[in-house]
Amino acid sequence: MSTSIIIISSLVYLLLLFLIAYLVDAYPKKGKKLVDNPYTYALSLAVYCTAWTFYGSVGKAASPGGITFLCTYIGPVLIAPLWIFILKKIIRISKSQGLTSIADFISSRYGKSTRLGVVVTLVSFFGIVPYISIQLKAVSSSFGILTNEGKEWNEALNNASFYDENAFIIAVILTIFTIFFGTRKLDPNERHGGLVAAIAFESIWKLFAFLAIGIFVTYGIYNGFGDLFSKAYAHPEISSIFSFKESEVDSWTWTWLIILSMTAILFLPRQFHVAVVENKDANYVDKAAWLFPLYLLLINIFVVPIACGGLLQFPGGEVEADNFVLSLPLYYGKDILALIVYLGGLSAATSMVVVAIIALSIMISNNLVIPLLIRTGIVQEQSSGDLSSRLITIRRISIIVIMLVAYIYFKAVGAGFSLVSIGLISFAAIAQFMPVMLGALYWKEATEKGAMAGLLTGAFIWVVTLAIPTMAEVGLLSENIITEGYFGFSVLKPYALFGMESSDHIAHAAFWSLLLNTGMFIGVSLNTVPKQIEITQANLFVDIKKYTKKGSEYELVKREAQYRDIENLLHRFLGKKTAQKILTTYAKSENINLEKLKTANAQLVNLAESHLAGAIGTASAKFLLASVVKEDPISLEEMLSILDETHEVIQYSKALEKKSEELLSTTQQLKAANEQLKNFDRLKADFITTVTHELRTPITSIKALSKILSDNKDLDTDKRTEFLNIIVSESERIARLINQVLDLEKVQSGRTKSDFKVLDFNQLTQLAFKSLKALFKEKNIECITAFPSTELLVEGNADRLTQVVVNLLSNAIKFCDPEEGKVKISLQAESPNLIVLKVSDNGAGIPLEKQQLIFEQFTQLNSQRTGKPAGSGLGLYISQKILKQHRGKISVQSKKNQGATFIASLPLYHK
Amino acid sequence: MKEWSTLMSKNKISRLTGLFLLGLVLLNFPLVNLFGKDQFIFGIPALYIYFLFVWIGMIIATARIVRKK
Amino acid sequence: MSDKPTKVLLVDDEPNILVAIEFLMVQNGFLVEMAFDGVEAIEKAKAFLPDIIVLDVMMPEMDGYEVANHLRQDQAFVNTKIIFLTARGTETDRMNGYGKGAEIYLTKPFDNNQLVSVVQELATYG
Repeated sequence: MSTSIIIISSLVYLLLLFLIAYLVDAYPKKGKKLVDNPYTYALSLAVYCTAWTFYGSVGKAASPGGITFLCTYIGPVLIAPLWIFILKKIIRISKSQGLTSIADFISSRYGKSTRLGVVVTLVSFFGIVPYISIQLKAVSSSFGILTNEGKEWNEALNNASFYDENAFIIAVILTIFTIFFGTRKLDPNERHGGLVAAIAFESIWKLFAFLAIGIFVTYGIYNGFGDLFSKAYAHPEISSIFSFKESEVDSWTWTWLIILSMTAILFLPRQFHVAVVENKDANYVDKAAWLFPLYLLLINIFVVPIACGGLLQFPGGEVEADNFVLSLPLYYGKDILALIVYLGGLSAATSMVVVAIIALSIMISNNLVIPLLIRTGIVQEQSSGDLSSRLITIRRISIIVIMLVAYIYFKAVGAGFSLVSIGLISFAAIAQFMPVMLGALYWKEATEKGAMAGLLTGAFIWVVTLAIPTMAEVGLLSENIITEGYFGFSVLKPYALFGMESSDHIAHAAFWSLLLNTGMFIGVSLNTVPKQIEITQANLFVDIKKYTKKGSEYELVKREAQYRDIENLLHRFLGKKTAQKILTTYAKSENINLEKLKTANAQLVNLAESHLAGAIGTASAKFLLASVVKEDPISLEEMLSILDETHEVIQYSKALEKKSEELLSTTQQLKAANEQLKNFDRLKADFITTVTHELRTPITSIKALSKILSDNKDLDTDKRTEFLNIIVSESERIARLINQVLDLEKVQSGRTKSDFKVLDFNQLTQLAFKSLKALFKEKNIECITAFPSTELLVEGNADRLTQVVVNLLSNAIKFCDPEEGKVKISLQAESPNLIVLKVSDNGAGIPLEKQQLIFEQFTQLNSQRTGKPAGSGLGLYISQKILKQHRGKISVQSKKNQGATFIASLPLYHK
Repeated sequence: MKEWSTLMSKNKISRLTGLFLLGLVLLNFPLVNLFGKDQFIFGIPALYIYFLFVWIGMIIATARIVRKK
Repeated sequence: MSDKPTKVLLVDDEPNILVAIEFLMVQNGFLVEMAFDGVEAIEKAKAFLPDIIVLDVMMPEMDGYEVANHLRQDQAFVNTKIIFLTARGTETDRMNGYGKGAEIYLTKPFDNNQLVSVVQELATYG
């Protein structure tokens, strides 16, 4: 085919892409309909399939252990269901924070760390450049093949200079293309509707092209799958594609490659860009989660058939397997098909290059260049000028630089490796973002220092195990590094680190880099203390759910700036047109006259910040605004951090409050106990006073009378007898008192409770009566008794109860009428549950005011017989206490001169 | 994790995670190794039929889980 | 010093004590009257007009101090000497509260000889 046809068709195709992009941007309304839907979104995700897919898959499949070509696609298929929450969360966070790249994402999460943004950008850069270079390789070689379809094309393939020319031109064209697509204006959200439309179209085209060649090979050359496969099976070397052979594929490699592709689909800068930054609605992910795997399925169906066909057609390796898709139609003279295939490959390559370079340029400008400029003060000092054009220029320069480096890499290294192996090297680099990203989303304790440590370690290992050895393999560095290890240490062999031999260099590198990356990340995070901004960001990211309201609701008070300052900033960085648009929209919605506006309130300031962030990155925007905004701005993040602190303080003070409440109650309890103790002290003192007084009295008379007796030996007998009697009775009195005090003690201490037994109260009462019968007789007291014939069971202590009965009876004796004493005793069961004992006397009775007192300690009544108090005053008190212990009661009924009736009651015992 | 119940039902999350894990198992050793090269179904290597079906299965399963409101 | 026998009024709610004191007083030639509570004491004092009153402090209803106060208000008893019989301990405050002039206190149990000599002194020297 003539070169000119190829060139023209290439240009036509590219122009078509330009056109689509241009039209979509020029007619936003119609364009939006085309672009803002889940199908376009899913198709844009297919930018994942590059020239690697187009050429490299077949190439890999046709080589030993080729089944691993599938790993690159199984990863995304497996992780697609998890997109529903992982990717959606990333999108939500990015939208709410105004993040425009993965470097921005990571930098923002870990405290808006500029240096982390730099690291991520650099890792992305060095990781993606090889990937871009293989696109160059693919396009140029396919171009070369097409233009030299004759026998000479074999030699042409090896013609280095031919390569160079083609590749260079292609690089230039692509650079222009990228600059056009990506940098016509600065959109704060970095959305490029036209670009997305173009990418979606390319995805359709490359699928179409691949299916075309696939159908051709399967049904054109052969008679369907069955035919093709059976023929292939006939050749043992070919048929190895059909299964896993232990020697060629091991589970280790298989697993690690899948892991790598899982991280790649999420974290490749171009994937992040189309999946997150360009995303219009997070719910598109729902559809994309199965549409994209479907796309992958379709584009992979014919890989193995084509590989088989190629191997069958060109055994012996005269044609590079990467090129089967072209060589086969060419061989059969299907030029047009070959052209279509070529354009398909071109499509795949350009979509990758454009998106990747745009994504990279955003990172470089926002996370590398602008911070540098700000730190060195260049930007701020420029009082004049519209910086937005400067920003664009920075972007464009970075695009050119990236492409240049990619080209150089291609020349130096690219030729020596297959597409797939270099692609996987890129994957391994990007995989270093996995620990940090997972930490960003789900682990609040991850700190900036941990992220730095992890990333740097991972990147370092990647360099050591992949970047350097690949250079050594092509002769840029000494081969000894590979064979003998770094610095001659065999444990530091790049392909066998620490002695771990691995058949697959990629898996080996992936293992070590991720292991040490994760280890450092976790280890350092756990051992470092995050700054407040990190904590706030961590909360914002991990708990994005809580904060998905409109930002302005949360923005607070102290954010004000001179309106002119804000206006200036926006002009300088977004361009006058965009800035004015933003400001007038705001003014309209808030009904403000911009001309007269002096101060920009918090809302406007935040609006400005988010737009600026889109243009120059969140960290830089914050930095710039800080210089303009008066007082310490309390942004949402800071407010959150204050809230967190406040929350802690509140918790603490609540704990304190609780403690002090407890303290208060304890103090009160102590006070009450103290009062009780004091009371007891008082009671004790009273008791002691009373008892000692009670003792002192008889002792006084004993002493006095004894002395008299001893001093007056010849006292007359009457007096002598009288005195002696008194002495005796007073001594008895003392003894009684002591006994009663002891009884009281026993009763008070409640020791008697434990010796309760079941006894017959009837019998007990009668016994007590019998024991006093003599006394009754002696004093000539008439007794009328009424005892029941049955037993009356109670549970209690016999001695104590006897004491009570005796007490009542002796009181009756003491207080009944002195001349004609009459005492009535009656005992009966009054209700099914109650025993009542009544002891009545016919004495002078007890006045009403004394009826309560007599049950108290030491209260005595005067006996009618002697006119003086009888007893110690404790008897009734003790009796009452004893009855209380037995769950009984005692009371008195009495009227003046009508005697007294004491009523004691006890609960009847039931079995 | 408890915040997510407002994003979507825990049910969905667990089903999707389950699908992921299932796929992980199905598309990895040792299961994948079961299909030796000499097995053919309708003239197509068994391995491919297997991959095809698991793949399609995952697509359909994801689509259905996501559709349920 | 008069030749008349000194009249001593004994007041205590405890009869057994009064028995002893009565004997002692009689043995020493005093004229004795006895009362068993405050009311009786005042009645008997007015009737008996004692020179000396031996007054138990701890009595129910009307204690010794109240009796003394009551009597002191009467001109007739301005010069009557009072000997208080106390139990030790709780009466300090009340003593202080009462405190008009030097009063004589004897604690129970008292010494017979001491009681007698005090009464004698009071009787002799007025």
